[in-house]
This record gives sequence, structure tokens and C-alpha cells, in this order.
Amino acid sequence: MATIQNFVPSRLDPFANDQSEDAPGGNYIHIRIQQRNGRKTLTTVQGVGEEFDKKKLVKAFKKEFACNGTIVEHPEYGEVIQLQGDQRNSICEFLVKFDLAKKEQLKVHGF
Amino acid sequence: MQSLDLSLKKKKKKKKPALDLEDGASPAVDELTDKTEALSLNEEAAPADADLTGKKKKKKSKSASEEAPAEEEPVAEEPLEEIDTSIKKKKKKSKALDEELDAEAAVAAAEAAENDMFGDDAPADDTGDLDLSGKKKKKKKKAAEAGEEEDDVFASEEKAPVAAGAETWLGSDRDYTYPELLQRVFDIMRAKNPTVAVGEKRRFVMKPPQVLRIGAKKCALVNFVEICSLMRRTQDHVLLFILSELGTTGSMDGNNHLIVKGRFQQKQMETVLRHYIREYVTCHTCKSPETNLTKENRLSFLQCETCGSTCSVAAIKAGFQAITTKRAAMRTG
Repeated sequence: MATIQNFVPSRLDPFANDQSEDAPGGNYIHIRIQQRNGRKTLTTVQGVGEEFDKKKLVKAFKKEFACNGTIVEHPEYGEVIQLQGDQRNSICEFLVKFDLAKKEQLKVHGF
Repeated sequence: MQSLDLSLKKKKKKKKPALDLEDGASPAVDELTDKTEALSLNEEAAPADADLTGKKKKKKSKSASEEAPAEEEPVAEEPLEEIDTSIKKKKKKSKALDEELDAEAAVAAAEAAENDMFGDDAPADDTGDLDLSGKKKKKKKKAAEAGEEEDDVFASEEKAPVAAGAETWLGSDRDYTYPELLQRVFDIMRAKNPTVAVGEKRRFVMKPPQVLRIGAKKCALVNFVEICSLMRRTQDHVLLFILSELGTTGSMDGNNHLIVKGRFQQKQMETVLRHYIREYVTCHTCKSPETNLTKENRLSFLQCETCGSTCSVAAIKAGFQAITTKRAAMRTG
């Protein structure tokens, strides 16, 4: 029987998922845009972490971006933030600036 | 009149936290007060700043660092500043003067604030402007950085940094850098075997999507089938992606055009297609577009024909869809 050379058993499981990366596959924050009538649009933010108070977040968003917004409870996706207008870029900047999310976590959808 | 209204509203909002926080002043608040005193010389500006920090702390459920409020402040006021400086200044000042104004009636107070503003407090205003500009610069720089990084992330075909020239270090004393060596290796490889394109970046050429407007509310992608065949993906898959990404509905019509609800321009369609290509067409390892998408027990895998790597790709999921139609219409229909 040939023995495997240089095999140092370690606590690290080589087949385990890479934990070192800070972008866990599951909890992406999806930022979407939807068209409404005419030139109007709607931005939805789905998947903001449980540890953040959405209500206060919306309040901050509204003040910061000068738009209206609300929280929609969804059975599958949890609390989803809706904002008026195309706020995708500003949301990304906001979330990254205040360390609410990493840049890799953000997923911007839409055109 | 409008400006008057604003100041009143602001005062109502700001007053409460200021009062709350006056008793237990945190070290961060103390520092801030020191700074503001040094800058503006009037002590009443301090509680105004303090209440800002307090609010921020409450708003985010994270420990607000000292610079967080400092950054926040200019952001909130920046858009205002360009349009009408008077409102912004008054907002600040009316906060500062709160305590004096408490005794007076609300309207009279606002008027007094206005008078103070434009008459007596000129030096104080100056300091306020000064420190604002300083903060703003910081913020601008950050935004610029963020933008650059974002560009990097979203650039679909990024190019490796190319060293200035081969063996530039020969003439000088300096050490060679890693990119230079890498470039040298690739140059040699290319020179030795010209048939194999090593590390050569072949651009993935895509036909631009032709978007036609159908009526006022719909768009047609004329060369949809062609695009699908160019990418070697099934029409269903591409269709599903486009619809979920745009958050609309749509279908194929008789002439193999894709009809999408909503107004979209060619540029917008291009970005969506670019997202698709980055996610489901180009190999995640070697960026080659020669890939196959296979499905094995409900998981999609992207197999590269160039480098042979296989990686799983996320299934297309529509995600949350907000209700954009009239709710009353939905109930009846």
C-alpha cells in the first residue's frame, strides 16, 4: 500500500466551504428596479440582514435620498424595502458606507 | 414661506433628542462639542451636533463611531446647499438657537431666527460653512473611490494590468515586479509557440440587441433568437433571465421576437444581456465564452470547453416583485 506523502491531517477540512470569504452565498442583498407607469420607477431592496431595523433604515433612506419608501412584508423574502425612483446606486453607496453590507454582497439587478 | 415652514418642522423634530441627550453626554459627544466650540465659538451649536450623534446611534444599530455622524451630516445637507443656502443655514442656526427661542411663540421664533441669521451671526455662519466644506471634501473623495471600485467590480471584461514593456528593469537598478515577470513569461510563451494563444484575450463579440417599441408600453427584441444562438443558450433560459432581471412579463411572438412589457432602450437591454453573459456564458475561471450550461439534478453547471473547469451557477430566481398596478384593479380582475 502506498502511503500518501506529505499528508498532514489538520483541523481544516479541505472540502468544506470557504469560510474566509466574506461574501456568503446565501445572504445577498438584491437591489432591483421595476418600471411603473411612464418614467416612474420603484427600487426594492431584498435581503437586508435581520440585525438591522428596517424601519429605521427606511427612515434614513428616505431622508438621504429624498424619496418616499415603505417596508413590505413578504412570506418568502421577509421584509423588503421599497423606495420610489431609481435609488440603486445610492443604496449601494449607503450600505457600503455604513458597513451594513459588503460590496460583494450587493447584487444590483435590472437595466 | 416654504423656508419658514421647514425651519419650524426641523425644530420640532430636533428638539426632542437634544433634550434627551443633554444629561448623559458620551465621550464622542464631548469631543464633538470641543471641536465645534473651537470652530464656531458659540456654545449653543454643541447640543445641536450632539443630538445628531444621538440620532445616528439610534438609527443604526451599530456603535456610531465619531466620524459616522460627521460624514452623515454633509450628505444630508448637500443637495439642499446648492439650491438654497438660506434654508440650510437656518436649519443649523435655528437648532442652535433653540434654547433662546423656547420662550417665544413659534412663528415669532422662526422670524427671530431669520433675523439673527442674516443680521448678527455672520461670523458664526462663516465657520459653519468652513467646516462643512472640509467634511464635504472627505465625503467626495470617498464617493469617488467607491465609484472606481464599483467600476472594477462591474467591468465585465477587465484587462490584466500590462507592464510598460518587456524587461524595463534591465537598464536600472530596481527589482523586477511581479506583473513584469508575468508579462515576460507570457511574451516568451507566445513567441515560442505561436499557434497556441496563451492568455490571449479574445473578445466575446455580441450582436447588439435590436429593440423596437411596440405601442406605448411594450418593447420587442427583434434579434432575440440570434442572440441566443450566439451565446449558445436556450431561449427559455435567456427569456427567463431577462424577464426576472427586468421585473416584467413578456413572451415570444409569432416572428420569434421577444415582447417585453415596459419601455426599454437598447442600452438597457445591453446591460441586462451583459449581466447574463457574465453570469451564465463566460467561464468564471478563464473568462472564455465557450461554455456549456448543463443541468444535473436541479443544479445548473457551467462547463468550460477551453479550460475544462466546471462551476455551479445560481438558478434564475425572480425575487421580490412589488405591486405596481392598481390594487383595486387586481382585486376585481
